[in-house]
Amino acid sequence: MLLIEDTDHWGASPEVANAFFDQTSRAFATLDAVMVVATQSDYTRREGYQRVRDRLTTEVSIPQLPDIEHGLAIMLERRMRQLGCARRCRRLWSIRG
Amino acid sequence: MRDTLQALDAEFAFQTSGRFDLLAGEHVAYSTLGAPDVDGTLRRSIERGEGVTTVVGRMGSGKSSLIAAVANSLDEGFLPLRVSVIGVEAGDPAAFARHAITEIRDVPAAQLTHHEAQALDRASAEYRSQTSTRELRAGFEIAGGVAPCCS
Repeated sequence: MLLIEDTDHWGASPEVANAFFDQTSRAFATLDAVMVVATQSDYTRREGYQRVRDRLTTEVSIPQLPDIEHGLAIMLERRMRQLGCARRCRRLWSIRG
Repeated sequence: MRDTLQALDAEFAFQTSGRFDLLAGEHVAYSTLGAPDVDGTLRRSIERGEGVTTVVGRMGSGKSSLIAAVANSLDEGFLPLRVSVIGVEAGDPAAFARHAITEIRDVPAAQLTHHEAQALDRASAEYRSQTSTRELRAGFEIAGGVAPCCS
């Protein structure tokens, strides 16, 4: 499984993204392998992407959160737990919240 | 509370780590956030074992962390291999394939995530034992062999 997840670097030269989808991803789609490509929304409007779109296995769109406030709180708590500061930060929340 | 969160967001408190090996742990499944289960959608797409899947979103929307989390949770039959697009003729399939092979072969062990290191070890053992590479569903077969990373 090939992961192509730094394509934001093509932001300054979208024609590169165009060529990648039109040529390279099309060729790799025929291999006995999975290719997952992080794709900026802007790239999907390029001709190269449009041409290969119906050959994609799946196009996964990052969804909007239905409740941004709730979502951000959960994400922040996860991050805090990872940093080992859950208890301290919970106190912070209770004071601030 | 909303003001606090918005202020934190403005200060990039929710920005994920640039390190791929940390992204998986930072990711919160979208279904947990009340959004559609795109984690499951991506997983099922990968588990088909072929083809190209795109993860579409604006810059900083969580594409990489979603990919990292799903890649990190796949079963041992999948070998996730990150390939950078920097410094390659991205529109030339042959050049990109050469670049991918070089990157995979030359990646320092220290840069592999635990999951990737385990997967590579398994792939190497598989290759050395001369058992079928077809079993390695995500094995990257080129010219009749598994990817040079595994030799």
